[in-house]
Amino acid sequence: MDYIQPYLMLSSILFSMGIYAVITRKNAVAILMGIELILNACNINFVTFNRFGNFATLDGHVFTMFVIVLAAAEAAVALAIIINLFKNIGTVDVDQAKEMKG
Amino acid sequence: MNETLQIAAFLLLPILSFIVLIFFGKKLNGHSSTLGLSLMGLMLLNALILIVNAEPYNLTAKTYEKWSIYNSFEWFSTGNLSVYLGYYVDNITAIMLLVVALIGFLVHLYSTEYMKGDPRYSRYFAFLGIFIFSMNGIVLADSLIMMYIFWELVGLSSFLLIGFWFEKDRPPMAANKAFLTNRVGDIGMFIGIMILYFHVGSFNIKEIVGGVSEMDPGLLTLAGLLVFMGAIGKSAQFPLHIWLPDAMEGPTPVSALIHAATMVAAGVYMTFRIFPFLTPDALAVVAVIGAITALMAAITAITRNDIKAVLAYSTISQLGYMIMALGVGAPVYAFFHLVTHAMFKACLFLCSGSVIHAMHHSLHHLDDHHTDPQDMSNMGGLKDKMPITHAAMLISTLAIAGVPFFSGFLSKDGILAAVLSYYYKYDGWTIILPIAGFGAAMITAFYMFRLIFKTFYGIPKKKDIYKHIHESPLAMTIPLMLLSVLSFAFAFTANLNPLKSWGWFKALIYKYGKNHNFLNMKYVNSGIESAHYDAMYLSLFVASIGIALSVLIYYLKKVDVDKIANLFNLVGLYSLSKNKFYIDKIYNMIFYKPFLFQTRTASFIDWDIYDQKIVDAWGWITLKISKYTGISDYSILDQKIIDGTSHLTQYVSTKLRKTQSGVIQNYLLGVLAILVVFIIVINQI
Repeated sequence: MDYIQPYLMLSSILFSMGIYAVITRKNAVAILMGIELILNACNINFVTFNRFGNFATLDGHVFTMFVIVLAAAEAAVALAIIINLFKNIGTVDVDQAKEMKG
Repeated sequence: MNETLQIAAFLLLPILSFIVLIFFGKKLNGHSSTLGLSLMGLMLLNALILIVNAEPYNLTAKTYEKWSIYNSFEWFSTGNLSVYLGYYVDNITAIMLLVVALIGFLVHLYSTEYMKGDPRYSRYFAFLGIFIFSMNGIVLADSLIMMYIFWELVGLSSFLLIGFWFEKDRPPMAANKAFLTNRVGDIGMFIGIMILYFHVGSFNIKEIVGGVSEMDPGLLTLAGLLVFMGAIGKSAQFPLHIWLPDAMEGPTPVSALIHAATMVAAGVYMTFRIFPFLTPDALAVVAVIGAITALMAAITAITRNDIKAVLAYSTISQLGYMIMALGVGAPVYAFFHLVTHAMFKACLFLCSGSVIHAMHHSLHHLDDHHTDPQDMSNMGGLKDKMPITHAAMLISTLAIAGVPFFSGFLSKDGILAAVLSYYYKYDGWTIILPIAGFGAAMITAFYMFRLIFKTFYGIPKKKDIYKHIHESPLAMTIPLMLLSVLSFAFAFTANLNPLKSWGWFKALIYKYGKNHNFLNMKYVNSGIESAHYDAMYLSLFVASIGIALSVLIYYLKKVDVDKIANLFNLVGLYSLSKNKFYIDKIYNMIFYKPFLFQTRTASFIDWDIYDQKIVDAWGWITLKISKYTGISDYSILDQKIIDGTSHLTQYVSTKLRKTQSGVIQNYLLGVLAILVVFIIVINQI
């Protein structure tokens, strides 16, 4: 498979699905899942460009590793926020959390 | 140090009385007189202790020790100017202090009864305190500048006491008149002091006397006369005598203390101190002023009907005598007359006060508030009702008339001898001095007995008033008795020979006033000695004429008063006397009216033109301008532009706030949309 297009398409599809989830889902956990999809789309891009680009080193792979670790940490923090949100307003529906409404 | 303390007591005791009474007088009230009286008693004691130190001149041994204590300290100094304050005490000072203390004490005692029931009882005694403080300051001063300071303080206390009954109409006017008239003299005095200071370099009287010899004689004459101007004001000499008769509006004991015995004598005392450096020219002017005053005031006194006015003019006349004596070079006799006059004139005033007091009470009893208690035409025949007052007043009248056995004879005789010797020496125009001197002596005898007869003899003019007249209480009659005893010649000579004036008093003052920078005093004194007998016989003669005329007209009523008045009016004398020589009217025309006109014009320009037209026009213009700027500021700038901006902001933000839904997904959607637009735009480029 010496073509780059399938990889980029996969990543685009994943990214779009992630964006769609983030925008449309009301459940905070589902939004978090969407974010994970977006991050993974990035990872695919990193790895892909490292493979097809003219790179002597494994920079893309290293970045991917960082992103995965970051995502794990982010998930922990986000879940903590969501638990607190639930404690405060009794639901994880993000439409209910609109105290910032002007 | 002890001496300084003793001298300082003369200033501290009365000022203590003033301070305590002015601040705590209301609480003490009835006791305030006790406080003032006891402090004055202490001062009198102090003066007696002081005068024991004085060294008399021993006539037989011709020995004499000059006794004086003096001290001074620096008041302030700037650059090469340093001003010293200090005291100088010799026999003259000691006698003067005794006179002030004695009369001050007696007047305090007298006032306890006289002022009883006055709403400002304690303030009255406070004012007496500050007066005695300032008078003692003048007497003790060793420098002209210190004398000037106390001079003004005396003027102030006189002002306060003349205007003591300020709720009445006339006393405040009289107080103003006295103060302002005195200012005229004081300005001259200050200029004179400054001329002397810039030429001699000192204010100290002794140093000035020593240092004036290098001055230009013309300038020295001018300086001497300028300083003497202060005495003209304070001692009520012509032409500044007009304030003294008006000053009688004050309480009568005040008239006795201030306007007869002490304050008005301050001018004589000051001239006595500066006598050694007055040039002969200046002395001639002094003598003429004294002569004019003596004669003119005596003539004016004849036609006065107010008992106090007679005494006021008599005071002016006697002060004229003293000034005249200084002018002809007999300061010792001037001082002698000052002291004897202080005793009998204080007695006369206190007697008149006693009469007025009795009249006042009687009128009060009758509920009559229109009759003047001081008018002699309402009195008459009081001698049986008020025996002590009558006796005291008769004795002091004999003293002032210059009858032998009484003190006035001794001193007046000396003055007249000096005047006569001056005429013998210079001849010519100086004839006016003896004429004035002897003429005034005759007129004095005449009007004083007129006063006695009109007040105490004859039939009472108003029966109902007479019925309620009573002799004054003891506190008022004791001073009268004491002062009338001191009006006898015996009190001053301790000698029953009436023609011999030598005695303890003369021995005390004999050696003073014997030094003069320009005159040979030995020569002057021998002249006075030789004129002595002429003067004595002549003065006895004129005094008896005066008394005889008075007896004839007012006691025996052999001669009709109106006929005499008409006779004198042929040469205009009567109307001159009646109208006080028109001096008040002349001043009114020359000074007051032009001054009032000037002030009214100035006021018209200032108020009607400048203030009303120009200043107020600026106000009007400012008002108009500010009205329009106000409109533009508020209606345009404020309402339209400033408020417009905020309205716009409000409108826009109300619209914009709707985008703040608080739903993060909406924001994210927005971000995505913009991102897509960006990508499209970037791709287009």
